[in-house]
Parts: sequence; C-alpha cells; structure tokens
Amino acid sequence: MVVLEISELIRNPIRTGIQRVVRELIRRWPQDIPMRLARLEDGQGLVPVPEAVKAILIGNTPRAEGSCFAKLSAQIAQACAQDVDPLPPEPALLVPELFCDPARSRFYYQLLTQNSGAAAFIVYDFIPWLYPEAIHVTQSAHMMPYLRLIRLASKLAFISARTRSDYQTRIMRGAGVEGPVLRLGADGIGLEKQSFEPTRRDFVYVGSLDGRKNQHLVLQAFQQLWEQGLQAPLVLVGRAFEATDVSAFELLDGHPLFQWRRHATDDALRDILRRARGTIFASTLEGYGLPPVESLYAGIPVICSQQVPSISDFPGGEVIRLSETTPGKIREAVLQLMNDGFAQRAWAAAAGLRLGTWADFARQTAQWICSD
Amino acid sequence: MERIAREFRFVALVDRNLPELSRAHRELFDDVRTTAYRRPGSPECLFFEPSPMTHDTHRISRLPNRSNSLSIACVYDFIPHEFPEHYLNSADTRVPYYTRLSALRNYHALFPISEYTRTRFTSLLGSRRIPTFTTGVALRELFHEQPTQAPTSFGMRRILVPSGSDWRKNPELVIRAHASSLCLQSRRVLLTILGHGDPASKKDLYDLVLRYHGNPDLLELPAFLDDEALRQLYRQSSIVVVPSISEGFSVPVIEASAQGAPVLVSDCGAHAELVPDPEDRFAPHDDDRLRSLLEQIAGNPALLRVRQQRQASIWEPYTQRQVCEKFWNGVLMTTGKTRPDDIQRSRAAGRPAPKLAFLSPMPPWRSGCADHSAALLGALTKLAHVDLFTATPLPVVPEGVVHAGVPQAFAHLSRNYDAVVSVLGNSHFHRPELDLLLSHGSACIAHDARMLHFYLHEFGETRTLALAEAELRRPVTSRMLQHWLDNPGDLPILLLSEVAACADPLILHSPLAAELVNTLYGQEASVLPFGANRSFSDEELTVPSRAAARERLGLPEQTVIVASFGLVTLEKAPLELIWALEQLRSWGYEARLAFVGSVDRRAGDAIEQCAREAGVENYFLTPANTWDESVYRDWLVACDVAIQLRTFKLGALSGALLDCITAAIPTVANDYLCRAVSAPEYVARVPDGLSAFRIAEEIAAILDAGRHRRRPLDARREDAAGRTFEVYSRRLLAALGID
Repeated sequence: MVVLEISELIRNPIRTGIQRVVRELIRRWPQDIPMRLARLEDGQGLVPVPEAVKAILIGNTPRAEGSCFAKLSAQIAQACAQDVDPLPPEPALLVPELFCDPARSRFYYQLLTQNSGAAAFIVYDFIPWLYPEAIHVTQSAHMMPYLRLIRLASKLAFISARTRSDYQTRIMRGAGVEGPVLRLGADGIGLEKQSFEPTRRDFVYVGSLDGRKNQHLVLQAFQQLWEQGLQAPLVLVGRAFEATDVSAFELLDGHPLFQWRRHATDDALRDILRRARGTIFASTLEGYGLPPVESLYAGIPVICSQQVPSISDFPGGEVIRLSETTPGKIREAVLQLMNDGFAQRAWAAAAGLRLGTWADFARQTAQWICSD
Repeated sequence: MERIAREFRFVALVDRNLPELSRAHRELFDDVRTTAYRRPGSPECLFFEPSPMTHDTHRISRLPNRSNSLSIACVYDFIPHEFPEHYLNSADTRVPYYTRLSALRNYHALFPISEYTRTRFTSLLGSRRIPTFTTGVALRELFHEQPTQAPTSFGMRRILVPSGSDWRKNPELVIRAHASSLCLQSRRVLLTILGHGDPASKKDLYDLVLRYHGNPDLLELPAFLDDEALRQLYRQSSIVVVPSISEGFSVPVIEASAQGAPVLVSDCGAHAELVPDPEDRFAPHDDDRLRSLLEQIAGNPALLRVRQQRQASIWEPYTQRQVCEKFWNGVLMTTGKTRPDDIQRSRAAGRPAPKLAFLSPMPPWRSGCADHSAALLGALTKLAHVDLFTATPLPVVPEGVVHAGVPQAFAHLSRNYDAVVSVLGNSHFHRPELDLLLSHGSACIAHDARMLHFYLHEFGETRTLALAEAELRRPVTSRMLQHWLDNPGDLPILLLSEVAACADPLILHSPLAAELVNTLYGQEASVLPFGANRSFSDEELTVPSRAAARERLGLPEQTVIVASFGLVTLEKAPLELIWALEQLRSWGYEARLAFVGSVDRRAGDAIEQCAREAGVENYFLTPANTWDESVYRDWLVACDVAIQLRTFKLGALSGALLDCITAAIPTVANDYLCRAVSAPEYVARVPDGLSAFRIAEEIAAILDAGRHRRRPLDARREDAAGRTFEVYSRRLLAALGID
C-alpha cells in the first residue's frame, strides 16, 4: 500500500505547478497498485483522507482562484470530516510536495533520523535555495528544514536530470543517493495532434509572468519584427506575479498583433494553440519546463532556451534552441520558423517525437515507490 | 525685467518656525529654504534682505561677504534711533536694534525707500562707502486708476487721516485742530481717522474731541478697510492730512495723489521730499497752523483744486514698474561693479589654511560616529584648522584640534569659519547637532540615511508622523510606523528630508544611499569613501599573531570559526547564519558560529529557538565582553571567516563589514552591502535574496581554497589606500567647496 501525504494540497488547494503534478499523480495512479491519501495533523501524526476528497481534488476544478478557492477548501474540509478506515501499518510513504510547515518538517525529521528510507520524496528543483533572487525569495531560513529532509532521505526521485545533478553536486557535494528521474507528463493540455499549415502564423508563449521567464525579451523581439513588417501575432498566456513589472505589456493593449490572456481556460488555451505556428519558452531557470513538452506533444515546434531541463535530451529539429536568451536570438528563431520550408521540417520532427504521458509518470512513480 | 527673469533664480529664505508661505507668496519663488548656510564655491548668489532692521541678523550673518555672494538690503527709516525714548527704552530693544543697524555695513548695496532715508543712513553709517539706490515705495495697482470726478469738486466735506496706533502717527494733532475750529465744526466737516480699531484707543480720541469742545458725531473711526474701500474713501475725502512726526516714506501721500485728493502733510523729512511746497505742510506739533490751513480751505474750496493740481503728479514716479526698475537697475549695477571673487580673495588673503567648525559626538562616548570623527579629525587637522564643538564631556580631542565647547550657534554664525560640518547619526548623541543644523544649516556628514528611530525617540510620534506624511505625500498611521520599526526593509522613505534640505552639502558614505536621496528628495549628495574606525598592522594579522589571539580567546585550533560582528538584530539575518552553519556541518566542516556583539532580545529569542530547531545549539560560541575594544579586536584577528548580512537596503553601510575588510578577513556579505561599501574581492558576495545554502557554499569555498589560513594583506593594502582618512579629508574639503 502506498500512502501519498498531501497536506499542502488539502490545506491550500491552489493551482501551483507542483499541485498540478500532485493532482495528475492522484488522477492517473495505476489501478493495480493500492494507494491512499493522507495528511499530517498536529498531535495526531499521519491521518487518512477519505476517498471523497480524492474525487474533489481530481475533479474539474475551475481555473480561476478567489471564491473558487474558498469553495474548494470548504468542500475538502467537509469531506475530510467523514469517517475513514485507518491507514495500514508501515505503508510506503510518498511525499510529492514541497513544504515549509515547521511541524511537518519536525515529523519527517524524526522519522528520517530513525530510518532514512521511511519516506520517499519527489524533488522538483532547488531554485529557492540556489537562485533565491530569481524568484523574489528574500530569506530562506524557513525553507531550510525541508532541504535538511532531502539531505537525510535515502529515497528520492527527481523531475529532471538537472535537479538530480544539483542535488548530487551542490546539495550533497557528491555524497547523495542515486534516484531516478521521473519525467512529467506532456499530455496535460488534452489537445489533439496538430499539423502544419502555412496559414498558421501565431506564436504562443504559455507561462506566468514571474520575472524569470523573460516574456519581456520575447516582446522586444516581436516589436522589432513588427517594425520590420512581419505580420506574426504574439499571444501571451499567463497571469502576472505581483512583483513583476508588466507595464510594457499593458502598453500594447489593443495592438493588432499582440494579445495577453491573463486567465485562459483549458478550452481557450487549446483554441489558441490550434492557430499556433510555434510556441516560445524563454525561461532560463526552471525545475522542468512543462509548456515546451506540452506544445511538442501536440506536434507544435517550440523556440526554447537551451537551459530548460525538459528539452535537454531531445534530438533537435522540433526545438529551436536559443543559445542565448536575447531579443536578437529570439528574432532569428522566429524568422526561421516563419520560413515555410523550415517550419515544415520542424513540424515533422515534432510529430515524430514520442513523449511520456501523465499516466506514464504516475506508473513510473508508483513502480519506483514500490521497488525494493 | 526679462533679463532679471533670465539671470536670477529666486529662493526664499524662511524661518522654519514660521507658518508655511501662502500659495501666492510661494509661487513667487523657485525654491524655499529654511537655512542660510551656503558652502564656499556654491553658484553665485545675490542675497536680498528686504527688512534688515526687523529680522534677526544672526541667522544670516554668514551670508554677507561670503565667497560668490553679494548682499543687498532695503532700508526704510531710522525712526527708533531718532526717538529712542519711544522705541529703545530697554537693553532688550537697544542691543538688537543697534546690532542690526551696525550690520547694514556688511551689505554691498542698500536700497533706501526715500532720499531722506538715504541721507540719514549716510550721516549715521557713512564711514564706509556703500552704494545706495533710492527706490521709493510702489503704489498698489488698484490705486493707479484715476477717479472720473475729483473729490475736491464737492467742497470741504471730509478730512481723511490715514493713521495707525503708533504714537508718531500723531492723529491727535488733527483732532485738536478740527475740534477747536468753529469754522469746521459749524460746517459739519467730517473727520475720518483710520487705523484705530481698538475700543481704548477710540475712547481716547473721542475724549480728546470733547476736551477741545468738538462734536463727537463728526469723528469717524472706521474699522479695517480693504483696498477697494480705502480707495473709495480717498475719493470721498476733500483733503487728506498726514500728521506723522516721522516717516521714512509716506504711502498715503501717493495714494491720495493718485486718487485726486489733495494732502496736507507734517513737516518731516520724507514728507518734504514728496510734497515740496511749504504751503502744503505744517509742523507736526503746530495745531494752530493746521487749523488755519483747514479753515482757509473750508472758506475757499477753490484752494482744494489748486492743491490737487499742484500735487497731481506726486505718485507718478512710484508705479510698480518704475520702483522695480530703480531697484533692479541698482542690483545690476551692483553685480556688475562688484566682483565677489575679489572680495573673497581680499578677505581670505594671508590665511594659510581653511578654518572649520566641526560638530560631533566624540569618544569616550561609545558610538561609531564618535570613533569616526576622532579618526577623521586626526587626519583633517593636517589640512585645516579645526574647532571642535562637542557635547561629549571630557572628549578625546585629537592633537591639533581646538576644543571650542559644546555645539552652539556660534559655530554656524561666525564668519571666521570657511565651513561648518555637522556629524549626524541615528542615535540620541546627535540631537544638539541636528537642532543646530535645522536652524542654521551646515555641511552634514550623515552616517545613517534612515532617521526613523531617531525621530521617534527624539521628537515623538506626532512629529515623526508629520514628516513621514510629508515625504510620502499620503496619510501615515502609528501602525505603519510600528510596522516599519519591525520591518525596516518595508520602509519606503528615509525621514531624511529635513536634514537634506538644510545640508550643503549632504555627505553620505554610500553611493546607494546617495541614489536613494536623489530619488526621494531630488537632491545630489556628495559621497565620500567610508574609512573603518579601526586599523591593524600587517604584523597583527600574521599566522602567529592570529594563533595568539585564538589562544587568548580560548578558541580550539582545529575548529573553523565563523564570526558575525556588530549588534545582532533580526535585520542582520541571524537565522540564515544558523542554517548556514547547519549546512556547513552537514558537509563535514567542523565549524562554529560566533555573534561578536550584543544581541537584541527579539533576535536572541529567535536565535535560540532556531538553533534548537536546526540542532546546532551546541556549536555556538558566545563571546564575552565584546564591548571591550581589545576583545573585539581579538575576534577580528582570530576568526577564520566573517559573515555580514542585512535584510533591508535603504543605502545603509555596515561599520562591522568595514572592520572585517580592514582586518582582511575572508568575508561573505550580501551584494547590496558590498556595493554600499565598495567591498574588495576578498569579500564574497551572496544575493540580496538571502539563502543560507548559498552562504554555506561561499564559506565552504573559502575553506576549501584555504583562504581562511592567511589573510590577504596585499589586497587589503590596495583597498585601504582608497579608504584612509587622509584621502577622506582631502575629499571632504573638496566637497565643502574648499580646495
């Protein structure tokens, strides 16, 4: 029996990237491997979560936050109050979340100091510790207990080779354990396979404006291209973080070749991608980077910073790699993809890729947790 | 006038204790300042004192005859000197008056309001040739408009006396003449006297009418009149009588002239200048003569017209345009003829070195600023004569410096000093310096750009809130102040605006603080390289010396000592250091952490809890007696790695980081702090977004490279060359405008 401890998702069900992974993990968990959900309660330790909560968590929750968050929280709280069978003794415990809760950290610290394999962790990235300035982290002391757990734990899986490399070389300085890389699913958008047509002219950038995804550089590149007469629309999809300066984007409101969709539904996102000639992902600091692989899964080639971990081992052709993330390089890549012959080859390469799904991810995770 | 607008920038100098200027007055000026201090070498300045016999001369005593500064003043009269029994009947009135009178000699040009005043000035203070330009007084625009019908055409109906409560206005003379005249009383000629609003004064005047057997019904004592009502009254008056015993000029004479009303005036100097015909004048105590003149007119109203025609053009030289032209022609002649550089050169000739007044706390007061001043003065005295003003009892006075007493206005007001330097910090030690700075202005070395704690502690919440609101331009609550105290990083302002407005120049030690001041207050600050207060010889930092220091402190040989210096507060990120220690130890480094300095209570509790949580409570060193200079120095010498962090920016420097730099300790500090002190290469930088892990990595890199074993003395020497107090002193003099 595998127990997924998901206290953060239960307590604070917002749509972060990690919670998306956790939801997919629950939704696609293989039927043949028994799994229960659990949460940590002060003074009670690990407590089981009723099946009803699972249904709520993997249901089609609305994208928008605010009142929907409150509604979802209330539903979860109500469902948690239902009677539930106790957890089996000594289950295979998997923690697929990152957390800063001191009590939760203490619980696992005690558990792991007795048995370093007593809980397994999915490790997303080490950006808050290694590159705090990139994500507006001002102090890290409250996050260090989690890092200590990762150092202590002997059963770890990573979402990218880069995260595993950071763990081994920097966090553990060569003294870390071996752990698999579990590739995230590329089929999350649910878009049917696309095919190239010369009439497709849109370039789409999916990703929140969090200050490190470099949408502003992409915009600069397009503004230069538009000045040169290129009729290629740019569509940004993603909300802006509070600390991000979005004035340059707001200034272009109403521009015939520019759209910024702050809150696009899944349906709206699929519609946007159905008109795309290519997608762009210019982030230089990612734990994984789902948007490029989701684009490729639908057969749409991507212009992508070469540092993005999710595309690191692709053969090429379907990804136009940016050796430097500058407006000039982005401009060159866009012009390349605007060439029909080049685009056709890139689309063909993308069509030939075989990318893993969320079901694959869930099965690999389940098999890993049940191994040894 | 176009040339004036082009060549001059108008700055108002207003006592900060006075109410704010009205909008109409504020709009007359490009800027408003509250202090008169100007550094040598400032752009050429013309100082205009519009009322030299009214204002306190001390506040502006440095302005006349400074380098690149010309000073001019209006002169109105010397009436108090002429009638001392009325105006100067005590030492409290005599001393300031004659001080101001004497100070007129310091101006480069004077602008008397009448020839009479000019002549009096020459006879009183004529020993020095000061150019004078008589201007007169301008008639207000409203009075330029002529009446369609002259008041004289109605015959003798009303006598108008523009007066006032001052004894020399002498309205009693007119009452005596009017009340005792059967002719005027029987013709029911009205007597209207202005400027006597209070009941006691009114009663005195009515009593006087009765005493001289006059009809009180013929006396009018109207309340205050605005200009329009006054103009109408002139137009309704047959004659205007101005009976003053003395005047520097007479505005009622030109007002009456412009409104077509003839005047009879007393025979005082300024009146004779305006009304030259003796037929229109009377001695100020001769009621018989005045009565006779008034009765002549009553008997022969044609005399009114004769006088009116004779006096019709009196006002014409006193339009606003003409008076302004006289004034500005005088100003331009003065600026053209007088070269302030020459004046300065002649005054400064023979002086071997500049003379400075320096106001600062000094050791033995335990303050970083005091230590800095002591070290600075030791070097500065080689380049300048320095008089030290300090509130510190029994101060440490560096050799060559003259201890001139406690901080006092003399330092700011004496013309003997080429520059005045106030040293400010964020502690109560600096209150006397701040008060004087705000009153008089000076150059100011501001050690701390953030003044929140200082203002709250010294001035209380009300004034702090007011200043914060003025800087933020929005309401500020007590709760916000408390939040800023607890979270300095959230403070959006510095509360330095008052200091910045009075400082010339404002001197800061951090280019980042200067950037902030420029952003917040639009003011350019001078930046000087901050020198550490402590110094170490190479010998003190050798391996054997360090081993000896470790032994004195009882530090084990094989343990890595990571030390953080200075007062520990949560803003110094001690919890990051604890987790950095935990991380280091997890990598196998036998490291221990020491906070070398006192720990505030809030930080102490948090440190204790965090250390327990991180499981490193047994790897803490708790240095004792770090207030003892020799102990503190031993820690600087003995430790292997230093770590200095700060969670907020606001341009703040770190004296402790400078200590580490001076002692050549391989140090880790956050980027902003490094930039604020221009840290050398042996200070490793971590991002301002603090990460205990990154800090641990940087410390580990130092240890792995063995950089903690030998101090980088060559690099230290190179860095120190730019931070000496000799360099600081030279740059300070340049910033003060003294080459």
